Amino acid sequence: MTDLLTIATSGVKAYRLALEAVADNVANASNPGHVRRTTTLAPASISTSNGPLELDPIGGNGVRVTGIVRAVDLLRADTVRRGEADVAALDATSRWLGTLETSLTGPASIDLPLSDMFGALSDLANDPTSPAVRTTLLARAETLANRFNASSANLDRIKTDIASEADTISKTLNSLTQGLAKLNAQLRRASNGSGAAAVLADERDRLLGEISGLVSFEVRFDQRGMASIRVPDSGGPTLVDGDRAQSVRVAAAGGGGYELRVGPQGSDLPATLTGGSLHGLSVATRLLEQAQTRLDALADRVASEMNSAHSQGVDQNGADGKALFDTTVFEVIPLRANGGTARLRTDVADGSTPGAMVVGFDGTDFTLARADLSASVSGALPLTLDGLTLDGDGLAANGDQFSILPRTGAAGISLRPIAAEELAAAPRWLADAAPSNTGKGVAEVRISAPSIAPATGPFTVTTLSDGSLELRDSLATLLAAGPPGSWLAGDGFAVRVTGTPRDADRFSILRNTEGGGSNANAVALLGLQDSGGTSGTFADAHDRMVTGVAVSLAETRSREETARGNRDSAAEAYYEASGVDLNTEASEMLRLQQAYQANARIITTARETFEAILAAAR
Amino acid sequence: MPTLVNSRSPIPVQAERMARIDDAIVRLQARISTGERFTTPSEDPAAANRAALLNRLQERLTAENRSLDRATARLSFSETATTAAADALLRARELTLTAANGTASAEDRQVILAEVKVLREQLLDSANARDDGGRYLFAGSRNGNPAYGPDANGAIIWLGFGDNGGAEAASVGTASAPRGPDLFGDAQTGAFATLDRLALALEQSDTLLRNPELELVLDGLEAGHERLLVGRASIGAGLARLEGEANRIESARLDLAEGLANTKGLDLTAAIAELAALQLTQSAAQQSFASIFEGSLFDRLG
Repeated sequence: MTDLLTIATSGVKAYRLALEAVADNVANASNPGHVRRTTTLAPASISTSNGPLELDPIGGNGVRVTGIVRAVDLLRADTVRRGEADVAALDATSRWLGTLETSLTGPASIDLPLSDMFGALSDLANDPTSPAVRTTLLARAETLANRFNASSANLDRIKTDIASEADTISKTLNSLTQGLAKLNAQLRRASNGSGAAAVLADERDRLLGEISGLVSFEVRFDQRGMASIRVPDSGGPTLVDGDRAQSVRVAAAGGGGYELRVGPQGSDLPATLTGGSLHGLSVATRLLEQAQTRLDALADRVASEMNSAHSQGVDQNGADGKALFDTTVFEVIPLRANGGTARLRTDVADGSTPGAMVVGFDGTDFTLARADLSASVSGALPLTLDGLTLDGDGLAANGDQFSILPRTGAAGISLRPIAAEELAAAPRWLADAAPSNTGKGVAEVRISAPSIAPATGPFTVTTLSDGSLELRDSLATLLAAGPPGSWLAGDGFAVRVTGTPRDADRFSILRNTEGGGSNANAVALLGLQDSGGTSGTFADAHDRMVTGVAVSLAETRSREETARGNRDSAAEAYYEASGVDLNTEASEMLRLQQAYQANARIITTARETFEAILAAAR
Repeated sequence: MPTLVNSRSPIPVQAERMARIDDAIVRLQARISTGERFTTPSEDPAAANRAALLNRLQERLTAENRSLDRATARLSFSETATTAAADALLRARELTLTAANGTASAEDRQVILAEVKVLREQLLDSANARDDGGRYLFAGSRNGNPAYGPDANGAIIWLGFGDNGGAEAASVGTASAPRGPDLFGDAQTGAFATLDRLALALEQSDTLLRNPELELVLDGLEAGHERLLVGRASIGAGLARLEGEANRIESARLDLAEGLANTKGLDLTAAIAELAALQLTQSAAQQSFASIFEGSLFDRLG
């Protein structure tokens, strides 16, 4: 009778535990991290000695719970993690590339102000002496320079934001790996097959899932379920091993983008990023740096070619054209450890080309010095060295230091302070065919090096009876001679006569000292719109920069779409095996409930039987 | 292969799929509202590149059109001035013929002389004609100063230098006004020298000396008038060239607008059909989701 009670009691206990597992599954049905549990039952072991009231045990000894099993498929779980790493990487890349694209297109595009500037140059070629047209051109050129500055600042800001996100992610990664290491320690202490072990394994898988969104890794489990991780694969450095987690940080990689440094600083090991949002940020940074390089190259080219062409002409006063654009700006970078609130600014005198400098404050005076310390000035602000004037606001603290670094490219371009009449729309040299000429020769002049022996203008090209030409200065000194079509070198210019000049035809060449209404240099500046040689025009360079980003973004989005599909399929397959199906749980509950009730009934029967025996004995 | 959908399907996966349909609808609605096939280059990089090129060409054609307008205005002013100068020389020729007539008295010649001096001023005004920007039309590159003025001896000479500007900004190199010497000749045999010669001849009392001079003046006036007619023809040719260029630009702008429409324009019919299909898919996805997750066996248990 005691056997009956023992067996039935073991059944009640076992099925209660099984029902608890079902209840746990149902309660966590909407919890994505929960893996369905099943209770495994086995016959209870047969006791070797009978109890005092047991006569002849004939069967088993009831049932016992051998363990709570998580319905997990490790391969599918790993596939989901890899899918999640891909999606997270592509999502991060496309997010930042989208921001980058917005910073280079639409209202922020360089294309429109560039077109506007050439439109204004076209107007200058039409009306080279119009003050309104000249002022408009300067405004357009300034807008272009400002747009370059703004785009550069936007790209700098995006780069800083990406770096900040990468830094935050590395901190999160450290936190997650520390958590995983602690969990490993708990798993070591938990009994295999226990409910506690299942809960810890769920938490472990959740942490692994979160880590996979940050970096891709290779994971191995020991027999107690402890996870060890290497990044990015089995050949990489160990991130978590047992209850130890290595610290990680993000560093700039040699070829652009980021790499992960694993271990204490100084003895850390590099790990390549191949998945997860850190990899996505690394790719985005690399593409951003490419766009920055292209933007800077375009700005440098615009400044250089415009300056060069502008200096070939003369302004309205007959003076040689100056550079239109400055190409360098000086940035003041305070040391992180500075205790003061001083905000310093620089101003560079026109024509000066200072280099990098350093600034220190000793509590009384500032010292402005060249970076190589070859020269310095000290005293109260403002201070001037090599044409760079340093001034500022706020209060500096004793020991504060600052670096002054030159920046070129899109950040450095700016319109020089030139007046409207200083725009060099006219050519430096003018050529004219004498009214008495009988031929149809046309003189063409270009700038060249000054002659060793200075000549005195105006200069005259005369056609001789044999058809050849000679160039003489105003003192009738012969400077050059040659056939029609050849360049004759003068003093600071070269001239050639094309067409069909006749005997005694004359052509005058004058230094343009009045500025005048000729538009030749404006036309030359306008011609830069179509020049560029093998590197293409300015517009081509702009299009290459924008298209580079757009194509990368389009490709990333397409790959992201595919990766999401793959990840979702993998997730469905995983949940197919590990998720909770309420219908299954309901039927399981009915089955277990019946078994539980049957065992309870056996206990009742045993009690009634026992009472019947007692009654018979009275 | 049909996807097995049951209550094991994680809700986030289902929700994300529906969100993707929502995103597609939002993108399509944005395209329909702007009438453009793409709003950012990444949606169609190749088409966006082509659209940027076409937009730039349009900007450029607009600038070239402004250049043609300015050059046309200058040539029109030049044509007016040239016509006035030719009329002056024609009148001078009539006066010369009158003076050469044996019946003309000394008083008649003095009256003619007075009118010739007025014609010289009229010719000088024409030679120093200015455009709407105040630039002297026939002064070449020195167009900030008068094209013609008196030299130390009082003779009218050309003060300009080089060539006039035209529509170089529109890459049209043959649409500039002629230089002063091309219209009014040189200092020795040009229109001003001829009128000065006429004035001197009219003051000559000796018929034997006067008549040969008047013959030479007549030849000079003929040549001067002919030069102005040639110049006017050249101006007319320039105007025709500019008009042709303007027509070309107008036609090119239409082609560009069509090209842009083809590149960026949205096929509204197809887009609306696609929108309807997406909305149907969205509705079906939402309803099937609601049905699948509506209940379970637990709801049937007593």
